[in-house]
Amino acid sequence: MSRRLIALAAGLTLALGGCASIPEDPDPLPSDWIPSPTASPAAESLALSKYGFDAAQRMTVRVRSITCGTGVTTGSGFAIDGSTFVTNRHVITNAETVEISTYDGITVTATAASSTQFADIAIVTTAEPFGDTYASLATDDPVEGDLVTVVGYPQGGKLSTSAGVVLGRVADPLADPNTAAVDTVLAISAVVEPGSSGSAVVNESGEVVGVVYAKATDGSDQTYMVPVSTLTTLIDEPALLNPVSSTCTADADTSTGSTADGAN
Amino acid sequence: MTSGQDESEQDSARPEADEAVAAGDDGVDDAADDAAAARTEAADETAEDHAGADGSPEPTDEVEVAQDEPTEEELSDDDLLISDEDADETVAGTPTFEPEALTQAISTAAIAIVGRRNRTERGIWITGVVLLLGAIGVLAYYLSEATDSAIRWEDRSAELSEINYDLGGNIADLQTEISNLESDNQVYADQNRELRERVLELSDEKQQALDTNAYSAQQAERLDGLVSQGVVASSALARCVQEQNNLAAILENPEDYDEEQIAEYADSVDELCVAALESYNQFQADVVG
Repeated sequence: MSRRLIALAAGLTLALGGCASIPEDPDPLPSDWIPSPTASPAAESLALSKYGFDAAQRMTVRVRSITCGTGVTTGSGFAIDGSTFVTNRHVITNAETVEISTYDGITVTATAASSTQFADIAIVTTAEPFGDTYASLATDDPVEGDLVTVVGYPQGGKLSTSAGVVLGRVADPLADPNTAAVDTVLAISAVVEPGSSGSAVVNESGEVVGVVYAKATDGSDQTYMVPVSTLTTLIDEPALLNPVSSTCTADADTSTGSTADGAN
Repeated sequence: MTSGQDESEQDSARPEADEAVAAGDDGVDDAADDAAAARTEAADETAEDHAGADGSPEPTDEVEVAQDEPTEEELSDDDLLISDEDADETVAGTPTFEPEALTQAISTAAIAIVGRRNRTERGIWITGVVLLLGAIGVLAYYLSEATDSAIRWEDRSAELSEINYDLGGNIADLQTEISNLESDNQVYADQNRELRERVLELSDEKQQALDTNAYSAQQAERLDGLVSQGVVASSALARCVQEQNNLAAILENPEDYDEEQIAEYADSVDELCVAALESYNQFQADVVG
């Protein structure tokens, strides 16, 4: 009998002890139920300007070359800093005046230019800045099959783009055997027109992988570009560049050839 | 309680009777037997207590408890001593056989045993009841606290439900607003696309105009040069004509002049006219070119 009572008392004690943990009172309710925003739109996107133009469009310039008594020619180029742009040598050769205009119509006159005989590349500076978007140069040349886009002003008209793929390395169709040191260039399938000379060729990441300088005339619709490795070498080695005179001379650059035409 | 339990308790009572017989004389064997019978009856009473008031059998799991209890309580040393003393007194105090006295003594001893046992059980019961009352008190306190806590949590749940409904309404409103904003955003995106195209078109028109201006300026400069060149050529030709007229007049009256002077003059007029003709030819070439 006493054991049963003791067992009963122990059971009650254990039961009450086990159930004696009364839950704590709820915490006070928060006063603000609106969660903090996890993301906020950037004040100004790096990819798009306030007008919605992407970086490739904003860095591209239209080059107007007022040649010595022979009229006005146009080409394309792209900014590598606030007051420097890259275009083709043949775009500015024999130019008395070089002017550039941006996608939104700002026009700036070039003050100095330098080029090299190793490639159809010219680096031109302006007295005043013409933009705040610059090209990002790729570290490696593209390879066959890579998707590329040409951004420029074909026919001197509206800013436009043309997509294609890298076809591979080919011999420079405009190479001067006496001066040309760049024996191979890259061929791409993007369609270009006169006026596209100096256009930036960008990859899928928006990096510049080359500079358009010529197109085939054999009906193959191939476009030739100077690879970015050559451009990088010229930028890193200013000694390879020679100043371009703005005085009118008799020997105008003839970039048209039998197999390829300069795209300006 | 079952009959089997009765038998077991009777068996457990028999050793006491045997010991009582071993402690007394041969003449009191019958008295010892009676005492043993009395204990057996007391054991039966105890068994009846265990069986409950209605005499219904208890659950089987209490059988073992009922079997254990006699070994701890009924067969304790006190019980054995009482039995022996009673037996000794009976043997020493009554040399002659007195059944009534023996019966009375046995009854007294049995009553003492039963009373002591009742006191022990009463104490246990009191302790159990006190514990039970304490447990009930603790349980009541716990239930009170738990009820209060449950009420508070219930209030919080109701409050949260109300807030959830409000927030759900806000979410629905915001979703509607987002949908409207997305629609507006799409409209603005279309307008922005059109405006970008318009910006490019205007920029292109501006550049075309600048190209035309540059070309026109270049042509104007060229025409200005041609005009100047033409004026020069015209002047040269006019002077050539004038000098040739003068030479013709001189040649009409050659006797008035030195022949050598006339020849020199004619040569100078020729040079002048050749230069004028070259200037004219260059002008013509520039105009055509």
